[in-house]
Amino acid sequence: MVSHISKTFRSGRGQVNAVVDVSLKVPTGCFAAVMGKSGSGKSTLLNCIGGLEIPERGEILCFGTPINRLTAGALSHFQRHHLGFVFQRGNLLSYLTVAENIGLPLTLNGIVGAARTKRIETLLAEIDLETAAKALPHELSGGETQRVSVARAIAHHPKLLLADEPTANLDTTSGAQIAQLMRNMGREHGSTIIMATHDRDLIDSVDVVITIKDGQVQGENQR
Amino acid sequence: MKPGQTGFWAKIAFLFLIRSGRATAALSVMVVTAVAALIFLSALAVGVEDAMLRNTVGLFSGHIIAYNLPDGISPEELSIKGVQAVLKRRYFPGVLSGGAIAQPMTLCGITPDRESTVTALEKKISEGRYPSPGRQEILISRDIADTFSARIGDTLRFSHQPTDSGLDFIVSGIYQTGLPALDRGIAFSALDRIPAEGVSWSAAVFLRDGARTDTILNIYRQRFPETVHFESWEQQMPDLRQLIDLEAVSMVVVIVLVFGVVAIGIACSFVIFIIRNMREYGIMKAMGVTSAEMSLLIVIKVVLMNLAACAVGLLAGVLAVLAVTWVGGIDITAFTTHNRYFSVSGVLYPRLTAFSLWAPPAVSLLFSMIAAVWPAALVARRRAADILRLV
Repeated sequence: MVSHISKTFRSGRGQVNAVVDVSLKVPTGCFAAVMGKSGSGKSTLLNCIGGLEIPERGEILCFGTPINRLTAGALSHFQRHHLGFVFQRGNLLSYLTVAENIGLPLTLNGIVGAARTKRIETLLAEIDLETAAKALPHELSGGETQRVSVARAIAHHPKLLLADEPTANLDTTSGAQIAQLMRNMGREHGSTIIMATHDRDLIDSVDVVITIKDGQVQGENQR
Repeated sequence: MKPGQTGFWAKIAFLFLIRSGRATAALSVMVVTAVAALIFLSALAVGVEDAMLRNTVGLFSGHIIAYNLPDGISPEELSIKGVQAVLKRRYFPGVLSGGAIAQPMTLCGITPDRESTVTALEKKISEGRYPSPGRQEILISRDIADTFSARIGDTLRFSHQPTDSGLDFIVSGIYQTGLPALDRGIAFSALDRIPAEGVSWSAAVFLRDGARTDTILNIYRQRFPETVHFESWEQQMPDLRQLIDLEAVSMVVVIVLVFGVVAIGIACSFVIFIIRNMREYGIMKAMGVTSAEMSLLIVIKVVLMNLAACAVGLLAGVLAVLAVTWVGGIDITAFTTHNRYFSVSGVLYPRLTAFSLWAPPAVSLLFSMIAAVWPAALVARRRAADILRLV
């Protein structure tokens, strides 16, 4: 639950009000899309929800935890256990293989040995990349990279999956596949998903559409 | 952070370095070169010390001089483990005269064959030769020869006591060492040609490479009567001791300075390296990696890279030392002709010691860890969103 949060940035163009008094509530297990044009404040809102940004005002309750009030250590702990991120460009760690990238959040969460190996194999099968386990990120296509990114984000069964424009660099078909993959995996793992996007073609995959403009929520449509 | 996760971060750091091969190699070259160069320089400094010591003690005096030895003690008794040779000598203070000139002089009775085998004095004989055993011959310095206008074959008389009539010696050779103590006051004759009644003998003790002078001295002092006086080369030549110490201090300063510069280079390079990969640190932060873990990861990366680079540098340095030794050392004779510490030979043989092997890698590792603080702090204090937004 997001309650009256605001976030501003200072830049060469002066003060930018990225998020202005935003309040919203996303039900547990729901797949929500935050839609808006570039620069509308979608990414900042997601970053605030995920604890990557600290808003100047307001409160963010993530499964009952006020994450904007956590200490740095407690926030890292919360992110590690309960959050998963999918970034615009996949952002896999370039020096780790596909399997190692997927295994990273597992190890961070203390899942090691056979359990870790089995989980990686399962996820690789789910994203249909069993043969690419030892491939490095630069050997993958854009769509494959995003599939691995989704698998990595969901590997440790996070309660909340945040996806910032995960289909922005993909063609329509690949984008739809990624959205569907997120939906399926989210549903299977019981994760709540919030996805920032400006792609209207993805609306069919989501449960709720939150429209944002100039840092303010314009509307919230159940689907 | 759980203690067991250090191994995990070490693995991540290892993979990073291995899979960023070219960048790692470029960063490592600086450390490899510095470690190799400093190992070689340290070994060369030891080689210079060895050469000075070898030249100085090897010319005549030996590492240890024993005075006032009674005839009841034989040279063999001083030949303990670590001793290469013991030369028996007797010193007779007296007066050397020739024609109308007389000069105070110490006549040293030696065993010429042994002396020519063990010491380098023979190399400093510019005319003639050592006195032969059984012959009434004398080896004098160029200074004395000039004072007496003496040549090979001339006769000089040596009187031990003012009252005795003295012994005549034929000049068999003339030497010149450049060392005032030898050139101005000592002449040599065969030990068996000088009456030795009531005169104690002295020993010049030459040690093997690696034998410690103080250890041998302690054994001697425990084993022989207090009336026998032992002096090490350090007591005989405190100036040489100071020179060697000064060189050691200089070497430490050089090592620290070089690695100070290298550390700054490493820190700058690593900061560039980290800024280039900053987005990946942002991703890890978003995944819940703590600042402490991030700092640990960077420190492990720097340390691992340094360990590998130090190993290669160590190997390169050792090979360089072996190669120089194999080709016959470094001949600096042209620069030492007027240097009394290089009176015999100007050839340097770099020698590896424990210090020359561990000091450069240890200093490198220490400075690299200090150098890791800057990039680690850079990553630790930035928020994930700032990193992801900036890059």
